[in-house]
Amino acid sequence: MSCPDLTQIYAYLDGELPAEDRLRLEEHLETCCRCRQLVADRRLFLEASSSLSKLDLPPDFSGRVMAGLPPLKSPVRLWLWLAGGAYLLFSLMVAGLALGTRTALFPVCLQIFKNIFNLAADLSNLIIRLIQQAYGFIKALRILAGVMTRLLADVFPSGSLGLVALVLGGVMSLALIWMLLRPTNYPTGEKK
Amino acid sequence: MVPDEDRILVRRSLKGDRSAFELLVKKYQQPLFNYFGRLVQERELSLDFTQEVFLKAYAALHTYKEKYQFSTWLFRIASNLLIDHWRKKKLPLVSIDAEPEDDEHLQPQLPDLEPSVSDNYEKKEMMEWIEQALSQLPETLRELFVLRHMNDFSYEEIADIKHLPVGTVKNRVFQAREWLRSRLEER
Repeated sequence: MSCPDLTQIYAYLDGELPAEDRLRLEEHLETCCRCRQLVADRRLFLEASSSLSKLDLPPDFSGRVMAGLPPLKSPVRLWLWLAGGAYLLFSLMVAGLALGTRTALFPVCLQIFKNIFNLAADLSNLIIRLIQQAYGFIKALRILAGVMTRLLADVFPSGSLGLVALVLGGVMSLALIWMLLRPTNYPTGEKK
Repeated sequence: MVPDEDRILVRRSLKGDRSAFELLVKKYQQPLFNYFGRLVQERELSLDFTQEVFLKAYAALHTYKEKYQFSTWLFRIASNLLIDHWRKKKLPLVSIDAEPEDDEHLQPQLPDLEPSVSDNYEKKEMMEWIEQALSQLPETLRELFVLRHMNDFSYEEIADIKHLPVGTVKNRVFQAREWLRSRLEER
């Protein structure tokens, strides 16, 4: 092994070198005096760097911090704001309606209620249409399946339908066995 | 994810248990003070900053996400505070993403011959000298060196605190180490 560079020496001292590289470097250190000295120097330097003294904190420091703490903020969720806003709006509309026809808010609130009602009606219509379309699709599938069955019955005599099912079952079983036992070590083209 | 001690204390603090937050303060006050002490180098200001980090953390505790370590979240607040301080002091901030300067001491290649530091220094003497030389190290490199050696953060944790790629952090810590070591040699 040629002499390692300084980043490798630091990686070795940080314990970040892969095991194989570490062993190779240690073998190298046994024979290379210069690298041994570099490692010894950096090791001492790192030990000294990590051993610098702690700075003195005043003994009552945590008390000082705790005395100055602001009131704790609670997590305010977005849905809480939305729900609050919707409730407020609804309350205003109900209040507007309840105050009677003389207030200026009445026609506005009435219009909003009408719009909400129309929106709900439209959404219901949409959902009913979607359900109807899904039902039609299922019906079409059933008709298609019926046609396929009749076609099969024409091709094969009715007595041999059981045989057809048996053959299909056999083919599927063979396919399943092949899937389970198929070779997994495909040749990669690399020479050994 | 199994909640560690810090996450449990944060949960209790969020429920209004102040003694839980006090435990967090007692755990992290010394590491934070060491961090600011080495980077600001004014005792009273370092104390103020340490206190401010806890105040900011407490006020923003509801925004803490448990997928992060509490220690890295706390030091991210500290680092942002420090950057603001340096900006206000108008210190020439070297971009941490910039390419390293062309300094022969900072190259990773093996030097041909260098005086043995371990022969000339005892560990205690070296510690004193590193402490002195640290004040001359450029701030951005000093911060990463302090996080690595005084706060014992891993490269990955420092990358998380500073929002930097791990490779950049390793490179900068390497530069800081070799910069300090070269000053040790020149002495």
